Amino acid sequence: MNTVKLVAVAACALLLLAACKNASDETRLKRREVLYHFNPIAGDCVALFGEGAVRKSTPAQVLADLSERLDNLAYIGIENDAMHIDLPWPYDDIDVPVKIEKNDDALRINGIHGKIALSFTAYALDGQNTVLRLDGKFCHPMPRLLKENVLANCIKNIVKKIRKARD
Amino acid sequence: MTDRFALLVIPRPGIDELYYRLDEGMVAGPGDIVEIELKKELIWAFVRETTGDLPAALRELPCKPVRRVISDTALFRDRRETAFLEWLARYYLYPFPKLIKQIFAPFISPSLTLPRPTDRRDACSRPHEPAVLTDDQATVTGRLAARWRSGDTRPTLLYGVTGSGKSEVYAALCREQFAAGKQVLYLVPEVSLTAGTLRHLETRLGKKPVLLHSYLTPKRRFTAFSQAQSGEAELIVGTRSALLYPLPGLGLIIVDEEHDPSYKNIEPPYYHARDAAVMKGHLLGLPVLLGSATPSSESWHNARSGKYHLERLPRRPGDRPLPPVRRFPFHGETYLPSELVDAVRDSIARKEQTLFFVNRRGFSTLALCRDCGEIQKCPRCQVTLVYHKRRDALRCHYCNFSRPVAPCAACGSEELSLEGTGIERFVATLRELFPGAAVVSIDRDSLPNETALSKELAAIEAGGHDLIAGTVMISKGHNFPALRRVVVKYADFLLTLSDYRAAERCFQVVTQVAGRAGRFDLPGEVWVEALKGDHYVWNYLPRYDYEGFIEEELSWREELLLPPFSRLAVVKIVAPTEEKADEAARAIYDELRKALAGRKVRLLPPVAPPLQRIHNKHRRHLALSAPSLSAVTPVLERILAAHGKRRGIVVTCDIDALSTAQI
Repeated sequence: MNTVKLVAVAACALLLLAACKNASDETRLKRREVLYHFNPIAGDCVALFGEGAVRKSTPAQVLADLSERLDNLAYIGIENDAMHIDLPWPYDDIDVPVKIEKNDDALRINGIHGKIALSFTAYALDGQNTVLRLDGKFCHPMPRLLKENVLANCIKNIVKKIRKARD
Repeated sequence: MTDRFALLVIPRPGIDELYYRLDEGMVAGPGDIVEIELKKELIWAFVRETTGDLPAALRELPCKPVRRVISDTALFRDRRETAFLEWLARYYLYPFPKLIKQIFAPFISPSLTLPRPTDRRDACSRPHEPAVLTDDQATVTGRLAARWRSGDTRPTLLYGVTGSGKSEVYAALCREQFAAGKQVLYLVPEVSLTAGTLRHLETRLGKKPVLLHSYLTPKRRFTAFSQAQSGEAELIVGTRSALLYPLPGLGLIIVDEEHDPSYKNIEPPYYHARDAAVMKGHLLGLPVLLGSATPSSESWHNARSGKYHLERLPRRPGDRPLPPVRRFPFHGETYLPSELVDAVRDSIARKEQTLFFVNRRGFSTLALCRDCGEIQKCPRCQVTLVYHKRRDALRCHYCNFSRPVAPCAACGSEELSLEGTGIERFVATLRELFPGAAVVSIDRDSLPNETALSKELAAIEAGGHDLIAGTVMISKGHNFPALRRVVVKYADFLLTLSDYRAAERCFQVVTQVAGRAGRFDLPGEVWVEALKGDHYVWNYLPRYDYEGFIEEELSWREELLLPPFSRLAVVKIVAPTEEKADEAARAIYDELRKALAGRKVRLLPPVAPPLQRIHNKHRRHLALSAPSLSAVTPVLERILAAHGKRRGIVVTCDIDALSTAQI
């Protein structure tokens, strides 16, 4: 009986913690913070998860807004199936041929050599806000912190641009 | 829970990092300096990170304790500052522990203590005279400040003609940063430039800047560092090494005279302070302002391609014209046209100054044996000895070897002829030509220290000398109100060097020197002596048409795939004998050729550089260029690891080398 109680208490605690975390992220998103974090993965790669909320929008609108602005994004710009990644001097910028897949739920940009992959999805946060989410991977021999800087600035800038269009 | 272990960077060859235990009650964080015992010796180490647990493989092994924390406060508490140093070490292929050692070793005494900072309250406010900005200056300042407030921290290149008031823009931007409670790091290429810069900034901002460079004694440097680190100092003026120190409240980095090659370290780590500043700005999210009247080809290319913002100051205040340039041919080492001699005489009578730029030290640039024709060379270095009259000796400018003029090292003859003209001989000529004129020489041999230099510069500013002869020390950053005329001897001598950057350097040096004239009410004029009058530099230089020149220069570079359209790395091999140097260079070349086969890399066979022997060490260079060095770097890292530790042979790699013909 005691074991059952303990398990129940632990489960409740975990649920509560998860709820707190979600609530906290949700609050931060509602406060218009752009959230992101990174994980180093094999080789010279880093994985990014980032999201930011856009007011007065639906997921479909946010993805459509993003789709329209691919050529005008800071740090990455996509034109004619090629992505131009801005890197700080003394690194040269990178131009990567990419394949873009669009459907109702997501917009995926994949470098043809597999060194960069960005997947944008959107979901409704509440009746007013939609969250644009980016799951990405970037491989380059530059130091990890630089890659993180580029990706973080990229998601922040994308969210800012779409907000500007919507707000 | 406090962390129980610290990963330490050990400043000892052969050991990079070790874990040490943090006993209960001991608080140390990343960036601290601690004392540890290693091989029964007490040494200092740098805390890279702390952790609650050891990696699995180390848990069963004994772990020694940290004995004490040496630094009172964390020096590199901001992870991004350490990340910057890690980037620098990695990019320039230099071991991180050695870099840490270079930064801290001068401070730490044998008794493992850091000096106590002396209580110098230099940074307090004083009365000041803020300048009234011209329209151009105000527009640029306003645009930059607004851009930075909006969060756009992309680096900016400020291209302003000489005397256009770039330093007024810097001062105004410094004031904005101070008002926001931020610090400014102001980089200058050379220590000799700091005196004038300091005076100007102090006058404009009412704050005595804190000076940070490697010529300071360790104690003074630590004091400056402590003031900068504590945030007490708002304005830090320094040379390239100042960039390596953490500044917790940094809001802006200014790189003045960004084109100057002195920003490139000439020994490992071969970092370029301008490029490193741009990277530091990126990592810390700070704006970086690069200023020059003759921007480097890299910066111009970056501005043109949108990597940097470009701001212009196209004219001098009050639309004062740039001094007209007149060319005269080379007719001898000390030749000056009679028209120029007459003009100088008139100026002396009117108490106006003339500056002669002669970029050669000593009296005679070579000593030739009249009997056997041997040119006297340094026995330790493969360079010609220069005669210094003041010491009546032949001297080597690389190892300081010195010997009497005679006898000839080859045949023992006492008959030696002193040829070529250095600044000492030129000053003697000036004294003969213009008897009674007050002549001062601004060069490293006449003014061996900062105090003597500052004194003479102040005297020139006060109009105390009629004629000024100077080497590169006088060429930039100075403002002389009574200066009427600038004369540049051997103006395009640099064009005779086999260096792809020769034209760029020539344009920069001559423009900078010429820019000293006509900065105040007195109209200026410039006379330049040309050896190669048909070179394309001369199509642009007399009109100060930098943009025209650099566009033509870049078109050549692009066609020949030279920097900035490719990246250049030079592997440098130094060995005790010529055979060993050749052998090592050949082995490295073969390895590189195999490892880089099939890649877009141009690899040149090993060559003896222009100065192939210095300090009795033989040198070989091996240059490679590629569209990007990212793919080449791991190969170079491997080569350095394999060859860098051979007895007596030192192998280093100069990433983004400024020249293939570098010494």
